[in-house]
Amino acid sequence: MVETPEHDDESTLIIRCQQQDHEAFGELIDRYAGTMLNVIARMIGNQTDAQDVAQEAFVAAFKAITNFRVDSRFSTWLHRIAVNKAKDYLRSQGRRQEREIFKPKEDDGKDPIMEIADERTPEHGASNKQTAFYLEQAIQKLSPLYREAFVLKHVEGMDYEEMTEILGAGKDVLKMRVYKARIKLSQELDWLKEDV
Amino acid sequence: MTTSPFPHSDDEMDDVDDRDWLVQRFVDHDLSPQERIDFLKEMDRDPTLRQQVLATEQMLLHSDQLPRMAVPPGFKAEILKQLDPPPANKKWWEPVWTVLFAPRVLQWNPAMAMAATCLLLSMVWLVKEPTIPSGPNVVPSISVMKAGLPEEVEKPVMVRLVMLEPQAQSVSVAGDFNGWQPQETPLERTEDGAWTVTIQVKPGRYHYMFVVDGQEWITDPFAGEYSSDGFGANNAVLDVSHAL
Repeated sequence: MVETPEHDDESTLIIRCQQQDHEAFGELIDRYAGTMLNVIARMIGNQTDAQDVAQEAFVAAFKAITNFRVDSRFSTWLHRIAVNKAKDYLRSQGRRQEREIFKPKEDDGKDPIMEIADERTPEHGASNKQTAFYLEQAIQKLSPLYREAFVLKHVEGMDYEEMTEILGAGKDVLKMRVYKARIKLSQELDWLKEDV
Repeated sequence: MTTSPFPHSDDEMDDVDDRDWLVQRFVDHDLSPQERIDFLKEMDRDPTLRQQVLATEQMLLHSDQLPRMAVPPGFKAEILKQLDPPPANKKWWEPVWTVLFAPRVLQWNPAMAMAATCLLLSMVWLVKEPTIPSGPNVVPSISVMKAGLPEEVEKPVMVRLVMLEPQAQSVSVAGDFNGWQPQETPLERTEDGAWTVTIQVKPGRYHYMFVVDGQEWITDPFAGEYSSDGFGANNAVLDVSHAL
């Protein structure tokens, strides 16, 4: 089989990046842009600024990539940079955050919240769309420490070991944050009990 | 039975009861086999508990399926535009040079440092004394080690670190000078909300970060110099020779 650059494995791409190969870095961006954007967007609660923060994180990663050890996990290293950039952003905003994340589009002129609320009927309970909307809102109400732990665990599906490396906190501490986030979210979405 | 494996020390969730913890541990498959059996029996008896567990599982299912933000067009191009231009006309030896001389992050501890020092001094001794001479002029190795050390040990210097964080409950500092162990060097709060500590270090350059409330690592905003930590954040740099 002829191996094209598209099939290069990650280590090869990283070594090429360490030699300042932009094309190789472009491939890594393709692989991780989606996850990075979503983690950052949910951490800072602002999709528009998430693009800038994610781009800043990628640029920082490229500048620091000579420090990366190939025996480490690249995605963990990259996520750690993303989380640090998101925290820098939150600090710079003085914890004043807009809550515009993942709002449905308002292109039809309807109030998105009312539109979603209308979909809920006694016969069908909450629609998936409605539940997702309120869940997003509830996640944004969590304090940053609980939010980042919950998002990595249950939205991005990471395990506690990887989260430990990314967030720099112990496994028990992270479990406690995830537990508390889940309890808080369950309280916020109390009406889900009616549907079970 | 206390079901929380963690201290309830912090914050906004004092209303969390043992049953909540039990549900969370059940969901995370963290119960022991006996605890799990007891919990399932209790769930069978108590419809409210069953409802609570199912609602939590349902919430997690929705979390897993939340809509994902799409990567906008031009996202990658914008990043690549911000990178320094790649070096043109690479020489054949440049990749080798990069591999050999690229900066690396080395992890170390005092035991490793002492072992490395002993190894280095042994090598110095081997170079100086390639063969073991016979007769009365044999130099004991301890004197060679002494010869390898500077005659005058540099005097330690007292440095005061200050952090303004009036809202913090605790502040400590981690850096090269304490093996990056924040618990080793807590700061004390002053009446005006600043946190200070005086440390004793030998002249040299030290990287450090403040740790607020035991979990948030913060770069000293008043440091005279910064250095990338390789993870997108900056360490503060303390240059004691300049501070003098």
